[in-house]
Amino acid sequence: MATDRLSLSKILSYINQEVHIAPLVTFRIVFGLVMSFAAIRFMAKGWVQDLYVTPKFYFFYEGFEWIKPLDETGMYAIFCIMAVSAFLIGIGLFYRVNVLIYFLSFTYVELIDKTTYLNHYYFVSLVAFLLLLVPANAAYSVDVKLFPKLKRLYVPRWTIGVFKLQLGMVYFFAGIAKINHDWLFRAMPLKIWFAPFIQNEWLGWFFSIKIVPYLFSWCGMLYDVFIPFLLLWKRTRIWAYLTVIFFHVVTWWMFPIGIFPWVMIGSTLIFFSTEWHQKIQAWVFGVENSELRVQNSEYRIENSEVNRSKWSPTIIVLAVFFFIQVLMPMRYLAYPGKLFWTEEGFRFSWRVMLIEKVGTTIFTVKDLQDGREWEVHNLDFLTPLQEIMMSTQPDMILQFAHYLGEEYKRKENIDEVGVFVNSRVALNGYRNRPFIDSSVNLMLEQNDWKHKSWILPFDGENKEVK
Amino acid sequence: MKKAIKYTFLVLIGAGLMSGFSCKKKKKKDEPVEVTCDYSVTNMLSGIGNNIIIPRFASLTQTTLALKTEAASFVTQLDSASLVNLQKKFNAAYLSYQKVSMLNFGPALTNGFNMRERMNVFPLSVTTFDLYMNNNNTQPSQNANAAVGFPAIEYLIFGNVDSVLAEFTTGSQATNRKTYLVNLTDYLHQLSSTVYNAWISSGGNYIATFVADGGNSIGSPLSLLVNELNFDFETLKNFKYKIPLGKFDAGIVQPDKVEGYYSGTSVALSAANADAIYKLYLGVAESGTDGEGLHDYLVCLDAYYQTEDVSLANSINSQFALIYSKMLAIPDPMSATLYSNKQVIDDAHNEMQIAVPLLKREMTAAMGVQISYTDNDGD
Repeated sequence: MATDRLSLSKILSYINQEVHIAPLVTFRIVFGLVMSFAAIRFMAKGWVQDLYVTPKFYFFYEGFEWIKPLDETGMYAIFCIMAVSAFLIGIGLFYRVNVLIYFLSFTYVELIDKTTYLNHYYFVSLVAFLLLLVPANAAYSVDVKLFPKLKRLYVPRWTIGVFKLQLGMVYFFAGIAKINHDWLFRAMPLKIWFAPFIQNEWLGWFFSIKIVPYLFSWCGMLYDVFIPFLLLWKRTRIWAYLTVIFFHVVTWWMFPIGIFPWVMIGSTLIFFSTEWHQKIQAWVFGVENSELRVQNSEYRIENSEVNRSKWSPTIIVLAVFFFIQVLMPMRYLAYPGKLFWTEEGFRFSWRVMLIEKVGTTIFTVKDLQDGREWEVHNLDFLTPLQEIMMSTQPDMILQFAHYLGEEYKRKENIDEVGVFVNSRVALNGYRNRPFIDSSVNLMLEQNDWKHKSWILPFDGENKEVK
Repeated sequence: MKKAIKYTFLVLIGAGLMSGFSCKKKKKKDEPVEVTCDYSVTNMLSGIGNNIIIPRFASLTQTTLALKTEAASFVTQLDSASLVNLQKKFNAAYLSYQKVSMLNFGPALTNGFNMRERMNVFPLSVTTFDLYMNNNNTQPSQNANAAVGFPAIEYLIFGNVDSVLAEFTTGSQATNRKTYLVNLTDYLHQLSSTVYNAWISSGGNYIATFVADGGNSIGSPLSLLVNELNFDFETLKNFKYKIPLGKFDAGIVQPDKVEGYYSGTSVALSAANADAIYKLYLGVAESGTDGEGLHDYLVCLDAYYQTEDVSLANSINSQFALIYSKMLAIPDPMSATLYSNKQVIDDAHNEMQIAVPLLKREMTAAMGVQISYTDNDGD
């Protein structure tokens, strides 16, 4: 017991030890500016219109039914607020307020529609939340210019560590998720995605080599699993970072993943040493030999034994936060069946680029009393993107079924309505097969945490490891 | 530590390479061991453009010219023999349109009109049509989609079986109907030749753009071709079958919503449409010679990551054959068959339904042709 307590207090005193703020400042500036650009880019591409104004129906997250989009002006206003608050985070003006505004506005938009769920949007929400807890504006910020009292050159080690941990977990869990039969031994879905690249003028010959997708699959898995450790270790850091750049630039070139590569390339800079960040900052801001530069010391030694092994509410919040972060990618273990097929426990788990999954879904609404039935033209209710996303994800199929049931009930004066679905899905190069039990009236099924028994089993020969 | 990492890397990469080889060994005997997908999309596009697309538009231009000429002579000699000739020319032109309806991209959109919308929006709105005739609105270019193109001409010359000629001679709209017929056929020919001329190398030379890019990004020739092929297939399934069958209307059949309602050629038209989509997929030239098509590219892609006994390319092939044979089993006019033997129509519809995931989802995925237009991280 005594040793346990001792080691816990050791850990606490380690994470509370004061270190120089420089890496945190770089992180704040890069994150703020990139996310500001991202919000502007999103508007410029017309996606606010396409994703949050055009749709008639939105796939809500369970428990967040009350989150609704605003009207067109409102949605554009939200994105403008996002762009401005992110920019102000970058330059460090009214930092805490803007982090809060950014976190809320970004997360609000993400919660509107499951269709647009992306792991990297989830990552942005988490980082924004973490930024709320740290004084990233305590140096090189407008706040410090306006309120010199805020200036602080030393911050607890955890204020930087949380971002390293968060990034490390993203990579690590993404890597672990790649350890499966499809990815490693069938090179799926990379094989499918690489195949069209044989048409590339310059690199076609390379992609036509049969072994290439296997090589990328294995390297990708190893890269994700090991990169957090290689970035932490001083001797491998620079090489690891170069592979970060290489890997993300390659994925940016090959796939439509937008700004995410740049977010990661910018964020992982936080793994570099204080001295490195100080040098960069001195160079960028032209402040040579300023008081901000601290020679040869990563952390402050004076003040070393002051109450550092104490719990603080923030530390408790963070402990819970990361505990949940560890549980989320593991929750799929609680469900039977093939994860990639049922997608029960798939989201919020850093399962990136793991599946090529396409499907078609035909809904039939029935009046159970007089036998009348209607086939549904999905695009009367959904955007093409929503239809595509819905067709492979059972919880979205169920939500849409419930919506259709209510719509037809009203429109066609039905007392007892049944909604049935004929659905076929093709996963990772296997031919399409039935996905949902077409004899089940989905109106009687609930979207909860329980296993959805109406998802037909993936009965193929896929011997996936998990 | 460093060494340990290094060796782990080497072992794992080695295992990865071996897994690749071992997978190959499992392949069936009739397949070459080293299957690398070696295929040129630009060659395929060149074949499709020169031997399928351009000849199809050339043929549409000719058949619409013949229709236009016949219409001009018909209005000067309003008798039943002349009408029969005109109807024949109309049927020929409508059939040749079925071969280009999946080519509604590039010049069919960029010349100030949308070919599909100007040529073949059905069912015709009779109300709008009458309004135009009573108000002397006989300029097709200024009229709504639902009262121009093939359906409007069809209504004029097939309309009411007993009184078609009378409508042109003694009917209250006779003068306007004559003018509109001449204008409609002229307009149809104009649109056809505009698209045709925009394609050919001695005209707008869109063919050069079409064969230059073998990529699969949004707006690339391959993407346009695949997307429009799928759109047309959906139109075929939904508008020519599903809606008339009453699938969206509690099963109550909608015979007046079929294509070719007045001429009674619905099945012939839809079979021609299905066949034209299939031949484009196969790469069969208008001359009948088999060239390279989406099928051949798919064979290559599929072989690259083959996982099942039946290839996707062949599944699509056999499905098209089934669709075509089921369609031919439906007696025309479809509007009558909907009452007498709805099942045969439903059979053809069901086969089309089965083709959708293959064509619209699996084929597009294999070719990397995007339908989604925002960022994604693959989940």
